[in-house]
Amino acid sequence: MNKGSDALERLAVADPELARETGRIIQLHGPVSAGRMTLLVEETLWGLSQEISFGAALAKGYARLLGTGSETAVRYYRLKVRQGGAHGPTTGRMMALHLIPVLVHGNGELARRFADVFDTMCQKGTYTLKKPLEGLSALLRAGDIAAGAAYLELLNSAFSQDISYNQSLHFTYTLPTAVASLPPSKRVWQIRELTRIVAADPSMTEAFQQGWDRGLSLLPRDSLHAFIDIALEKFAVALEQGVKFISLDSSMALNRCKEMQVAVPIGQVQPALTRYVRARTGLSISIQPVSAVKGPLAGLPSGRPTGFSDTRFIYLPDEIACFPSQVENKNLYMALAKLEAGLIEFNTHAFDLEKALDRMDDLDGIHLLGIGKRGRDALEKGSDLERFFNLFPDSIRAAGLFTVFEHGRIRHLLTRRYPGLVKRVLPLFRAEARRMQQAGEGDPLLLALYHGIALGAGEPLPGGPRETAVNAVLESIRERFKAQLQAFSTPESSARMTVFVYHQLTGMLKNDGFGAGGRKSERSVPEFPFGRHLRPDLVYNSFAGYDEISRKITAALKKRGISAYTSDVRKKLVINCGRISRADLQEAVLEKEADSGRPEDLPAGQRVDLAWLDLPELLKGTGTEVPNGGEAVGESCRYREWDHTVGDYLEDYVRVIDSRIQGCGGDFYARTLERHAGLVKRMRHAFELLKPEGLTILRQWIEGDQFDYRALLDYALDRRAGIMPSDRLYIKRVKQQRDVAVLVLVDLSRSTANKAAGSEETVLDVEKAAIVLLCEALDIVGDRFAVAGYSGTGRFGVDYIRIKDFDEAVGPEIFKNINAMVARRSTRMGAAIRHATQQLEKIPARVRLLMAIGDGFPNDVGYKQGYAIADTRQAILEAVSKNIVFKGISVNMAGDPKLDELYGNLNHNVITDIAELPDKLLRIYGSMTKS
Amino acid sequence: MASEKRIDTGCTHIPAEPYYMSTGNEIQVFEASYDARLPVMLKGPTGCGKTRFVEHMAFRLQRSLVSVACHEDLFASDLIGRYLLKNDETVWVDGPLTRAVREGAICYLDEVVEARKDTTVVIHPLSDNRRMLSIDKKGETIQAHPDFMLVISYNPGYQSVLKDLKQSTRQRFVSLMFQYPEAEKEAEIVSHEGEIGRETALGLVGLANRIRNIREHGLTEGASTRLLIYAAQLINRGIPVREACKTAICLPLTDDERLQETLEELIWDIFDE
Repeated sequence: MNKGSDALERLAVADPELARETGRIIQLHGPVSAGRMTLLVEETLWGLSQEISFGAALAKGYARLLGTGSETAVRYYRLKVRQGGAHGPTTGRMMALHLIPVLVHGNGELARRFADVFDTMCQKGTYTLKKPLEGLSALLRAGDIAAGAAYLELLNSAFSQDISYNQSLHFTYTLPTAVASLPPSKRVWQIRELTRIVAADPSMTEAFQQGWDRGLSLLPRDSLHAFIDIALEKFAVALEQGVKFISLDSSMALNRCKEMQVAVPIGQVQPALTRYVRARTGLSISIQPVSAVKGPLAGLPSGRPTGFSDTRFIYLPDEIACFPSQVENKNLYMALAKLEAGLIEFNTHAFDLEKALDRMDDLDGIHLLGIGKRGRDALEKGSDLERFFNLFPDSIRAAGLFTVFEHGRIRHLLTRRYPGLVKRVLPLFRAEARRMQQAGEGDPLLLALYHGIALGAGEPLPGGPRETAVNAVLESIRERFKAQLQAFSTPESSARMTVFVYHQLTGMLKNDGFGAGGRKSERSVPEFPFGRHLRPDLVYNSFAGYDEISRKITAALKKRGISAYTSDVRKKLVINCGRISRADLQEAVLEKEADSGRPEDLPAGQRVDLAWLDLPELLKGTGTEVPNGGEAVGESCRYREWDHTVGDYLEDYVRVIDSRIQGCGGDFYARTLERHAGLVKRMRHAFELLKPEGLTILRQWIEGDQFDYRALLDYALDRRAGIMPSDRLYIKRVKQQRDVAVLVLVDLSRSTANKAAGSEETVLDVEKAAIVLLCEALDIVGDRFAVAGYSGTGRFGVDYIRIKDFDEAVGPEIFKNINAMVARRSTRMGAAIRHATQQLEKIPARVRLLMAIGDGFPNDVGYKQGYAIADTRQAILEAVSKNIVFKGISVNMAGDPKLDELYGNLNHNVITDIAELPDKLLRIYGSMTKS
Repeated sequence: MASEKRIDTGCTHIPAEPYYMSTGNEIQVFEASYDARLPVMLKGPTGCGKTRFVEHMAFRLQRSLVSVACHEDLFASDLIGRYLLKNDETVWVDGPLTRAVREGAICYLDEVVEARKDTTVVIHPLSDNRRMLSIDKKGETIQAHPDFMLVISYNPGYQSVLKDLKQSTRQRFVSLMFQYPEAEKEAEIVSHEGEIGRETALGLVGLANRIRNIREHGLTEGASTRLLIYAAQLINRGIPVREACKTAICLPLTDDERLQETLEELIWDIFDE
């Protein structure tokens, strides 16, 4: 037994769990000499004597450091933790924990700076240490040393100033949170800009944070620096000016920021891209930020934009700022989305390994690489593409080659179907390929192939491979690729090219990593322009369930000597949302027969008998049921809701409870008419004019009530003149009719209980007054109308409260109902609009109008901001597509550009001063419905 | 070639075969219905070829065609006939429906739901086994000519409750459902009618199919074959393709700026000028 083990056993006596943990860390990070082990144990025991957590931190710290750390580092660590421990176990523990990443990942300079800042923060109090230093350690462990150093300076700037306890506490929480939210590529200089603000005046920090959320984060480096210069100048003149400017409260600041903005966040382009992709593919594909991919599937962050898809979503960068203008950055978003849509449209991820191997038997490389045999015995797990790549000695290179040919195949198909797209988009990618070549990024051979085949560039890549032999091979590959495209164009053909080229390049470029014994790729994904790459792992994750089901089915068929391709069965499952029938399987079997020939014993024209297949039993427990939709349950109805993040509806997601309001006595109706007597008089006159004028005389009819004497005169004259007289000799008296039905939908959310600006009345009181006057007006003009309120909480409790139905006359009952309108809860507007649309659809009228009156944006549990706005907008579009005219009226709020997003820019009015609502509502209605 | 233009009175013999491309078995069904003298109802979105089909079948069956474009001011007498003053006499003049009934023509009531309800009931006795038309003003009942056939059309997509066909009317007709043809056929139609090349026609059809994918996103109807033919005709007359698509397809469909943006992106992608 060695001395090291002895030492650890001493620790085990004191704390067995800690000793085990320490031993594990030592195993991970390298062996520790006996002398160092003794040091570890002695220091740990010293720490444990003060406080258990301090001792534990010491043990883990030393275990991490001693394996690889220099003698200087170890001595420094001991010195500093002893110094920290002298001020108490908390200080000691913080030093023990957070000095380690500095020593392991940083350098001497960083270590010294850390110690200084640590002391500065300790002077404010140990409460300042935990969160900020956790932030620092996270940065250093992620390898971002420069950001760590900048962050230290920020902490120093913040805590070295004369600030209050509250301000210190505030910094303790906000600074690490703010820094953690910064994108890695911009973190260092953004931290430096934040440091400038903090150093100028800590009180500006909150305003800066506000401005950051509103758009400062999108500014490029120089612009942000210039913007802060201006803010600091203003701050020097007057605190409030500077605060307003940096927080983007002032319109001048907002405009300035917009002018300087170059970066485009995905939120700005997401709806337009989703709509485009849906139109292109006919599928419910949605655009998502790359950051939406979480966990082990997230992959390595890259400094450049990237784009990939999993057939349900297209993932694009959270933000693009690689060009000097917003327009160019938006164009890049569009370009990435369009090319990724091509992969979906042309079935890249329908790749079937079995199909591919069936078509490769004649290929030279297949046996040399041993792929044929291994392929068929390949593991069941993972997508077919991943399994294909893993058949090669260098799977990354294989993936790279496949990407080249598959992107080339897609380009070829896009050129035929979307020549304009190819013409506009590919030059951008060719320029990026040239930039990558010059910057030495990516594999030069793969990049040259990509440039020629995937991007269809006629000329070779400048700075690409110089050797004549290599260029000759590249050219022959291009020719072969073109020839193959003429023969068949499926993702399996790209696999075929991959095998061929891999084999061809194996002999030629042994020293360059191709083939057995060569150097494997250093990155985990091949590098191509703008980071486009295939993510078969994501696709598999999306449809892992379907993959398993389709393999189950094909295995069951195989047992009976019937074959179908797994990808064809999976396609049926995807299209049918998890359902599959015998007829679908017949088609899948036939598709394989068409590919590889019919079974010999099956006469032509006869389908394979699948009557024996018990599909429900086979699919039991796979849980792919789709819920029924649309039935009303008593007085409640279910409606779907639009989820813009997935670009599709959530079926039967919301329950609307339709009920009748319980009227209550009171004289609100009468008092309102009295109070607005002047308006009532004007309104009566105006709406009388809207009324159709009883009977109208229509002339020159060929049948009617009586002769038109003027026409009779013409008739006589024409006859005398020998001209064929007209037969339109009658007049007709007809009643002109307005045929308008309107449903007024009133927001009864709790915010309507607030007092209206400059008034003692609540918002709801004013809305009720407007409803009273509208009732009077509509009664005069004779239009059919209904009034309903809505509120509720959560998606199962949307209340639709009927105040007046279409077939009810305005009278005492309605007066009581209006009296009884009170503010309730939340605003799930989309569902209310859908239910109102359903009511209005039943009314036979030439014009059907839905007017929604509210005091803000939709807001409910799990129904906020972008999601709520998108769903409400969708509900409005659904109503419009049913020929219902929609008008939104927002009261008691300032105009907001988001209202255009909510209602559509022609479909709404804003009435800031709610006192004007009664008057304006009538005008709006009158102008909308006059003939 | 299109039939000669005449709408309200008189029977038209179609001199040359109107161009029509079959997309299913509609010709066979129509011929069988004609053989059995069953009335036929053509349903489908606007601009998908219903009227052209009727003209084609009239030529094929060598029958005269009487077309009536129905509207909400169409009275029963507009269909049946009325007394008119001619010289010093009052004479009865048959309406288009009566003329078709007498002469054994095909009477085609286009967009029949637009007509007044009291007008559509006029066709009830003609569309069941009675096959007779009652002229109340004359006190006459005409038995339909053995070759008479009644055809109606309507667009079920955007009618309101008021304008839907009653069951008592619907269930008197054999129905044929029309949709926009599949891409290759639609391209051939557009190429022929618009006198443009097949490639451009395919591009127009591709554009239409993509627009139809986002019908629920604010477009009441998708792009019809008729609009594609309009665009083709503009292109044939020298208007640049993108401009023709924008004016003939994109702008008529929607006023929503965001939708127009998406449609224009598609136009730019599909056509390389």
